[in-house]
Amino acid sequence: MGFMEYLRLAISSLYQNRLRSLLTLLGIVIGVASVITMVSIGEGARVEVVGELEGLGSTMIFIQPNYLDQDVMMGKPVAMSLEDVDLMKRSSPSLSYVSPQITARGIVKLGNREKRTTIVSTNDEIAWMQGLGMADGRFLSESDIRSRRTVLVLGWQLANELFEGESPVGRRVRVNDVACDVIGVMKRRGQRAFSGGMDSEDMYAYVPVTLARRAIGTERVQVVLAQARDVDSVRTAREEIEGFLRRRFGRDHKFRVESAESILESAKVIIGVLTAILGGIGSISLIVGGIGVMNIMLVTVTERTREIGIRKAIGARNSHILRQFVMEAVVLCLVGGVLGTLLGALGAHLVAALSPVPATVSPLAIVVAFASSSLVGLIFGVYPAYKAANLDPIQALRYE
Amino acid sequence: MEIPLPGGNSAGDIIVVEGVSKVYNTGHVKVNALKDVNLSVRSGEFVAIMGPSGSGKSTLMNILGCLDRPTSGSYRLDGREVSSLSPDDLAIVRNKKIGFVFQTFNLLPRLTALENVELPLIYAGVGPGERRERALAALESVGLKDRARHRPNQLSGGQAQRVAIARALVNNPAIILADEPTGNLDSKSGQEIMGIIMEMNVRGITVVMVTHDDDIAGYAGRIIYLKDGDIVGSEMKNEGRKAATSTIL
Repeated sequence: MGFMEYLRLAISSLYQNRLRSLLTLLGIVIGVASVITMVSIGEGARVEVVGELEGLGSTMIFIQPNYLDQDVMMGKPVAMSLEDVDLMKRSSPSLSYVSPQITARGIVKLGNREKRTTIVSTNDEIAWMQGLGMADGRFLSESDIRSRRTVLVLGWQLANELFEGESPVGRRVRVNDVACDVIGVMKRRGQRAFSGGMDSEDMYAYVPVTLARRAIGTERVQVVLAQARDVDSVRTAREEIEGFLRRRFGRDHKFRVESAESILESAKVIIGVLTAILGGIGSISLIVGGIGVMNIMLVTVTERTREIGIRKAIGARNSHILRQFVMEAVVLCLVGGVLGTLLGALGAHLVAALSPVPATVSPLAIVVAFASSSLVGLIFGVYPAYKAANLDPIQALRYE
Repeated sequence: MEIPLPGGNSAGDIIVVEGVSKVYNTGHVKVNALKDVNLSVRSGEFVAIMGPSGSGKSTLMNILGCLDRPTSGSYRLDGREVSSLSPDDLAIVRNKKIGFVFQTFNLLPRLTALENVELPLIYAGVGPGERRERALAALESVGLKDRARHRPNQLSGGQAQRVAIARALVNNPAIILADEPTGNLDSKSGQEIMGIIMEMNVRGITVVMVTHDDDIAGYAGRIIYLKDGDIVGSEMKNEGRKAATSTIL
């Protein structure tokens, strides 16, 4: 008895019990669809985060408190002064740019209208480093920093909310009661999928680092963004910074030096785990669907006991019966796999359309969903089929 | 008990049962369904097995039909010892050597008459073209070629049983085992069915039939009486067979 024979037999049996087959199918469809959607979300997250990190450029280096250090976790303040940042730059010839980031919450006020947001006190090197474009005006310049000018650059959204369509450049606003002239508006950066509950960069206000004490009341630098001269000098630059930090703050300093690349690596690991967890959640519903298949196959076998008896009497071997019923379960699961893949792709597109996660259906997800749905068919179909195959022909023939 | 059998254990015997016992172990009670049964059936013979319910008829038929194995004893079918074959080997023997005709027809309701007749050939590994041809020929031999596309529920009882006979014949078996073949039929259909069985027998197919109807048993050339798992009598009915044959042909 050939493969096509079993296939034909399976399809005709399933067709006989249309409603039941359809309902059983639904379990598999939902299971496969959720695996596809979940894995697609994970994949979308990976693409988003990797793209974002790669956008920072592979020569970026971040110096920030080591948040995994116990002292830092317990709230021990870790910061360097602006002099330290200057010293760092001078002692690291492999760095082309160094930009301190003094960040604090503050109020930006225009007349009676005020916005509470994130104030970033930095120098002229950050915009260049991050390749941030300007929508209007210009970014902070070296002379702004040197001359401690009371100037301000607005994030795109902050500018819109404060000025409501009027041109902000040249207007005067107050940053925590320091009057500043708006010299530029950043380009829109867009919503990010993983903002971590922080203000969008479109809501930031940037002031010269030399204005930090006046505008935001602190000169303690927690985060420094630096850039190596080229890709090949990233490692040397990191070593120079590490050496400087050790000389300046001692061997057990609490800073962490990371390059975009090393962050990318750990982000990939984290998202890999995330994808696995999401896929696992999807798999649970696939398993539930599989149990549904097993359940219905057991009912089918019981209902068709007499048929099995007849087939055995006229010469069907155990393996014939086994294959017949396994084929039914596998066909059920494969059809469910196809429909589930379509539904899952639809789900992924909906997620991509309605949320910032650019969920994409990868070929891998489809392969995984297909493999797992046929595996489910095999696993949950084998036991009922085995039961059918091992029925005693005499008792099966007597079954009413 | 020993019954003197015509022809003895000669090479012409297609069924040779020697010292066959069957014990059912139902929990703590042992039931001796068959006790040391000896039976030979010559090739081309028509044997009826009679006996009250519980006499072991069904058990004997199950063993003869290779649906069950004896607890002890030997069963040679067409020269081959089959009493200790594996379930799969028994399935092959059933497929190639035995044609079953059941009281309740036992056709698969979802298949057409033709597909039902094709079933044994599918398990014998016969290709689709030859299968269709042979199944149609078998249906034609029972006069139902024009019902090939009908499903069992579209057939009368007599027609359904004829399809079942076609199914039993299609693989050219060595023996036909008929279990109350007319039990579910009116007397006219019953006579038709017995006519077909007689015709097969005349063409040389060995038939073993269980019945409790004396008239039906009258078609057989030999009647064997079973009681309490023992063969308690045997009766040759050569004239009956001749008479029946002549009325049909």
